Amino acid sequence: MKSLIALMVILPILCGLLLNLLHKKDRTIKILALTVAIILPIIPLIASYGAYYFGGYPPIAENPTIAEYLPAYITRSYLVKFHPAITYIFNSAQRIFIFILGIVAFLAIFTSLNEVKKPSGVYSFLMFMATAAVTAIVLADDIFNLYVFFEIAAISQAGIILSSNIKGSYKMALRYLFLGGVAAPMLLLGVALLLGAIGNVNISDMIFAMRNGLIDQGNPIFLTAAGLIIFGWLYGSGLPPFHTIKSGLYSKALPHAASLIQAFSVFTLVALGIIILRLFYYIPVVRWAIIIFSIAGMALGISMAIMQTDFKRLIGFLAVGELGYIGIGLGLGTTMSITAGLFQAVNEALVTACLFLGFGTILYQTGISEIDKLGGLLKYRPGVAGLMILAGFIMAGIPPFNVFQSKLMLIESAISAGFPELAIIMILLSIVTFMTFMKAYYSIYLKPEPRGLEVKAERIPSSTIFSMIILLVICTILGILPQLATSQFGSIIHGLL
Amino acid sequence: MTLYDAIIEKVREIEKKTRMEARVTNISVSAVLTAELTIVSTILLVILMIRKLDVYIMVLFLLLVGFMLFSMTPIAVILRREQTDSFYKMIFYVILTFGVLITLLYWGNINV
Repeated sequence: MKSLIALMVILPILCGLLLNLLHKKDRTIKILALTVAIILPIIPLIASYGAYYFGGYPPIAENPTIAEYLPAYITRSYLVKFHPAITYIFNSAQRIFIFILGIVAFLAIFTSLNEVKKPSGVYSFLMFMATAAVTAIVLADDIFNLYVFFEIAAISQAGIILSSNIKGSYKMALRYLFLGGVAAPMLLLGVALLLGAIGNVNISDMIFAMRNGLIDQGNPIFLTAAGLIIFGWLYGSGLPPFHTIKSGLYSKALPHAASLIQAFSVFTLVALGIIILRLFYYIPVVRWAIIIFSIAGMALGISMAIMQTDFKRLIGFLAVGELGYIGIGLGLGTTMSITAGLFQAVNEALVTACLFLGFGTILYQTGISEIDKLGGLLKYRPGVAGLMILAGFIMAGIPPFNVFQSKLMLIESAISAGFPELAIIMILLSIVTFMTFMKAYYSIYLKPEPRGLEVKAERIPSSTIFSMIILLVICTILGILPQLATSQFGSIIHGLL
Repeated sequence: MTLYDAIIEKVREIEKKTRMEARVTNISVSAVLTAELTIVSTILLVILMIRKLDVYIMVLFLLLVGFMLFSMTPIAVILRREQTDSFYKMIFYVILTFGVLITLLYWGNINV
């Protein structure tokens, strides 16, 4: 069943390519896209743990047939442990990340297909392509392969925004690509420096070489490489200085696309963050940099969110701000903090997707995103308003939901690590997150309806409500049984520390 | 003039300068005040974390940033003005951050 590891990436790529070719064949596109979208979260559940070697070339140490014909100076050296093939690693942590990504992708694609009578093959292609790219980023143990998929994910996300047909989406997508033109080459340069210093692009091999004294860890080239890779990480995840463009990107996407793109940001942050920790854990300044950028993301994202008058931008900034919690968990670098950070990532992907879909229902009803022009929507669809407030409570960290569990773990781990200031910052920003959400909720649902506001409550697609309910149910289950997620991270943390 | 009046006046002044069309309402002023307090508190708490490196550097930073905050208040409005969709501002901060990140990492050396 190890071939299923590769299938997690290959299947959405193949499906995307087929959908592109089938453009205008509406029924076929819907059936194919929906079928593959349903399969996406199932594959990680049935795939076996382990490594998948593209081309079928495992390390020589695992292949005695080849080792038999090689000279002794090779079979007795470290070379036998090195990975000659592009390698994907699939363990319990990857399983839960890809499962959650698959769920969000399925709900986004399902909502997208139900919203339109004539689905666009090209649009679906971009959603599948980006999903495949982020799945590959989560699985890749080869840093150059990771970079390639990092670029594919960025271009696909810009493509999704370009296809959204929202005013200003072209400008925003192009700005994102231009900024990517600065950040992504820096990531590649960091990869190149590592390749130059170590002579290998396999991450496990690099760590093996660094920890076993095959290279000088004190070489300043590693500091520069760390800085360059962190810079690429900031771009991929949307932490400062890329928080403005990332929140802008969310605001110019259709609600289902925004829910998917934010999940891409979350899992890119986690995957690349773990790689940075694996490679540079021994350099304390790297962990400091992760913490400082995460705090900046939280403070700037959440304080900008509360000042917004457009709810699309408000939720965009909130989504960026909440990413900081994950970064703090990784930056603290303890077993508990990393577990909490990874758990927060899973929770954030779910609840933010729900909020993007929920805020989308207001657009369906009124076509307006400016908070000042809205009001009194509670009486039209009280059920949807109820789901929205539930999602807001979850994001702010109200018990007994999943985000409460992960934020509590993060606060405890910050205190245990000797950083009570960080715990206070996280509590303070959770309160401001709650205030921000309540400000928007009051203005949209509770304050008197402005004169002349046209509301068409029947326009909300049932697929959106279905998707919101599914996401909220998963959030509640993870809140009551957090060990379902937290017990999965042991393997990845064991390899880190 | 109370501090609240001073902040409203400053908000109006900056909005006039930047030609923002949004009305100044109770909610918008409360939002700016909340953002202001959040940012100031976060900055001060982050400075306290510097004690892990050196207490004297922390005190120096506290005095420096305290003076800056005092002279620049309200900082939230300035931050909002800087964090627009202007491509020039975005690229400026991207390059600035890149420079600071690489300099600090290289200067910090592996033992810090």
